[in-house]
Amino acid sequence: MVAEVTSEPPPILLVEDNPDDVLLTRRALARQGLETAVVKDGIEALDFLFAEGRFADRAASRLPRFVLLDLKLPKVAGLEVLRRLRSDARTRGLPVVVFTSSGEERDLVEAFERGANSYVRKPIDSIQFGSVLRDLGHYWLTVNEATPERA
Amino acid sequence: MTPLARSNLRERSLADRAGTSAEPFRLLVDQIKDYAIFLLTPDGRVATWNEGARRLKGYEDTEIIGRHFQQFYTEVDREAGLPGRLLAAAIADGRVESEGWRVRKDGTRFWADVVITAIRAERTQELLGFAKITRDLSERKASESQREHLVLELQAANRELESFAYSVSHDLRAPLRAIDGFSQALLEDYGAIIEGEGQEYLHRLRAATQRMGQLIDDMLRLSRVTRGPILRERVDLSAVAAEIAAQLQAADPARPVQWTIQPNVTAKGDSRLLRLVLENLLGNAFKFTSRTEGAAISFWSERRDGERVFSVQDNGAGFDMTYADQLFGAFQRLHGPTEFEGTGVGLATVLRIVSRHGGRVEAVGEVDKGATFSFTLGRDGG
Repeated sequence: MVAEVTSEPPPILLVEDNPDDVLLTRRALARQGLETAVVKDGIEALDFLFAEGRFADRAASRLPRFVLLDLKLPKVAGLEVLRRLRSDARTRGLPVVVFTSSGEERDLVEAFERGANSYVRKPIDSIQFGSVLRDLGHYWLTVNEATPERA
Repeated sequence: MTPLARSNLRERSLADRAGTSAEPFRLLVDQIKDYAIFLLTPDGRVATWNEGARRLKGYEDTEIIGRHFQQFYTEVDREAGLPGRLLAAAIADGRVESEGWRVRKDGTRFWADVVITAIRAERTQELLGFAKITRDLSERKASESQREHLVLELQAANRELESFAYSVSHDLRAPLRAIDGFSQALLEDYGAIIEGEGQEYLHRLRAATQRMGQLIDDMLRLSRVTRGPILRERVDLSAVAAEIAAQLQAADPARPVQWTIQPNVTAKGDSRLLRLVLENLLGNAFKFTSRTEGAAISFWSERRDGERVFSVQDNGAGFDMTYADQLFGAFQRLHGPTEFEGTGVGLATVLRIVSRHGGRVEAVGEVDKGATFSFTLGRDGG
């Protein structure tokens, strides 16, 4: 379940450590014809986006169209990933959707304070789960005007 | 205590500079057992003391009269010159108070509150000596440190509960999502090869996960109610009730329910929590009138025995008063899930919120005749 290094990266990067959630999220997005790159912790997410470490030969300018970011992640937690993305000019404008189980108010407040574009709670109901992901894909890939590509 | 002691000392005993007793004063002072009362000479020696002092310090008269009072202090305090500083302060300010460890004859310590008052001749202002009053605060000190300890323990328990709730919210959901998600995936991807009964099982699997998800949410809401402070402000309960009624009705517009909400009912309490109380009570009323012809739900407030009482009444399914005491326990349900759905957390939440406001809640009902839930909000709640 590792992101492929291609010239045209999938439009969505999923940062998720739970293999069940990875499978269900990928499946739901694939049903909309959307391809998803997956990384499984905070370090991998940063390496992927900044084209460092294991992803060093990836073109750093080729960012996904948006990131689905879980909060409870191994190594570097979601909120810290968010903070680092926002403090770097290359990823400051990258749309990040926090996609989490947590309904805790403090997570919600902190996510927005650190510059999340959206906060979505993963529904338990699989039909809602599918429709939420369909809406997210539609909104961020079609409705929303993307930041101009940096060459 | 000080003014009394001072005036007595001034009028009677202190006129008596040699330290021999004026009888009435001696009797008065001697009967005071809870305070150690000393007279000190200007240079800090014990001139006389009472029964309370004997008991507290453990010396006999002969052992202590004429000795310097610094021997009641710990070595550290003596070396730091505390006794002398206290007398100097009493001379300068007339009076000094201090709290600290003192030592008994047998070397044991006790926590004491000490007041030393300089006594001067009325006309000449000449320093005659000092009145020293010592109170043993060991018990208070012990109960204080016990209380501090309990508070710390409670705070730790609360933090633990909070992280527990957090992990419940996060970690219990994930497997449920998987169970529900893969059941649904089976139905979607392999529905054609799963026979009728198999399909039914998968639907049951999904329904059960939904119930458990609801249960987790309700549990978390209940635990959240116990966290955080109660912020009291004036709340327009009528407006809140009307809003909730409109929401309930909007979710099921075809149902004819007659709502009667008394206008301008206000209360002082935590607006977020009081809304939760009304959501639960009105939500229950709405739910338990779903099979009632001519359903009617009302909210009002009245004064009962000088106390403001708020009530929600319906004419729905009601309940058997025999089981009334089970109503407010978490996860207790008087109706099977096939009759009315729910997790049994609503009234437990109501009880907890009302209790946190210092109020009470009571339920009156009869099967098939309806139910009335009334609550108060404590002394500041009306």
